[in-house]
Amino acid sequence: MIREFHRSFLIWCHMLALHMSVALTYRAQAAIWMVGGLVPLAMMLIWLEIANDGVVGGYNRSDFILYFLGMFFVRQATSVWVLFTLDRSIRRGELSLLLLRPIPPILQHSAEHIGELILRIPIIISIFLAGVILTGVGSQISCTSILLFSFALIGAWLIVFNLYYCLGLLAFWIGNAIAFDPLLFSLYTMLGGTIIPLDMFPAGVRMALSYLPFAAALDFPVQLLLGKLDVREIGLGFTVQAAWVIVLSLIRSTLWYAGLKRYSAAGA
Amino acid sequence: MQSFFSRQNHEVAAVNNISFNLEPGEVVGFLGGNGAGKTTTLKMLSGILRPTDGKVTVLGFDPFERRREFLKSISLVLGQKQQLAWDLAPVDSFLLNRVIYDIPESDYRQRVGELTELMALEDVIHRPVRKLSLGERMKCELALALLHRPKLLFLDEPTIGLDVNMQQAVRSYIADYNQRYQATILLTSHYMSDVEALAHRVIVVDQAEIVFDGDLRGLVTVNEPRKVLRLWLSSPVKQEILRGYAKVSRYEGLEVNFLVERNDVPRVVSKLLAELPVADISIEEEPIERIIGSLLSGRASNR
Repeated sequence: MIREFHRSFLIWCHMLALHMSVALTYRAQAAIWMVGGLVPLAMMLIWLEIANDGVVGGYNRSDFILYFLGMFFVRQATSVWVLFTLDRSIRRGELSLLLLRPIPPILQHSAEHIGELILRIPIIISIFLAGVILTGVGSQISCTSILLFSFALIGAWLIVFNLYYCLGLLAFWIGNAIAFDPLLFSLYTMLGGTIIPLDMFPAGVRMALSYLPFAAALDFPVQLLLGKLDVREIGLGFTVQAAWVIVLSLIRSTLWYAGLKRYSAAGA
Repeated sequence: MQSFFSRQNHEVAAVNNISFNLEPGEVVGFLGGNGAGKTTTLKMLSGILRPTDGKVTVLGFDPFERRREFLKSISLVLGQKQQLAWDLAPVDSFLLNRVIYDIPESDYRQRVGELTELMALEDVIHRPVRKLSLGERMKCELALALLHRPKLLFLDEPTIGLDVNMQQAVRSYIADYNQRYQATILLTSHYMSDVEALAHRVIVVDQAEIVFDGDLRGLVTVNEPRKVLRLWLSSPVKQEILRGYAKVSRYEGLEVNFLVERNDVPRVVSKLLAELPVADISIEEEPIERIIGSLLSGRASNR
């Protein structure tokens, strides 16, 4: 079991390194992707205007700045395109080539994402830090909150990756799984806190939303950064994350095996 | 709109009644027209597709379980799809396969050396794949597929799009691999010369069924009992006179082709030589393409 894991890990690292060198040849593409992630920063400006140096829903000026800077960070770090990869490779039969290898194809898919993320993370951190320094909200961040934020970021990535993986696998059954992308994007944006911080919602709604994967992957890590959660809320947040990771992984592997039986390996 | 609301799925039997065994070390040509089910069969044998019915056992495994030991002992080369990473050099893909297939370092070095030398790839494997010619890419693709020394090799149109020299090189490499490692090879191709050069046995499929399974010579003698007699005359002879000897299949001035029953060949030849101004003569088999073509179209007209 451990040897098995070790072997997969070695292969994965190798793929990671390979993909990083591919990604380096397509730097411009990465830059374009990042522009799409600027929505939270635009929202920040709007909310600052609304707050107008006062306090809105318990958020003051620096809360808003940090919230949306954190939101930018999380969205960038969890940006995932596996839905497109899967949709294309299932419909056009390119998945066949991955199926021939004696390793699970998800290794390749995850290595591509993490490889690219490693290249992007310094840029994301730089933008985030620049924002923090320029606005002077740095004093609000503690070492503990950064540590907790980092852990929550891993959970967030796993949720987003698995969620999009599940949707991508629907290409085994339907014509184009990409059709789900706008839907999922809206849900993320509305229910994850990108436009309105979740604690602006009525308590009951906020409670309900916090159990959804969108909040677990977006609002929760950002709240950790703001340092506004108590120990109970932190524990609950991580539990919700873990639960979603497990549930979505199970759904993913069920869809995978069911889908393979229907796979038609189109066009050679 | 009808089709939008009531979409029906029709089950198409891509592969219907195909049943065959391969012996270890055998090279088998898998022939048939477009859409006959050749590629589908290869995909089932290599574990990509699950057969809806029936049983497939390859090297003692059910391919669709995609067990690691199974996948490590096979390779499928799809002439139309590539396994090499487009933006990387072939050697990067080789290195990745070294880890994926657990190839020991020393074996790896020896095999890459051998493959690159045999296929003249030394200068090629360090350039990005997107900058390679089709022929170079195909050779690298083949080298990649053989790196883990598969016992069983499925080749789907391995020479498609290659020029004659390159086809020859790929063919001779495949033949060499078969000889050296006693690998079993199942090959589809539209180029009959691939099949003639490599396969001793051929399986012809049509409409998802096997219509012939046997050695190549058998296919020729059973389905085409006639040989082609090519004659070059030193002076013109009227077609009516020529028809008196055997069926004329081609008549172009001084060059004449006859179709002659196998048993009848010696008699017709000696008669021609005795009675006509013959400059040269040759006795040939019908091209195998035509034999298979007529086999398939014969089936079509009986349907």
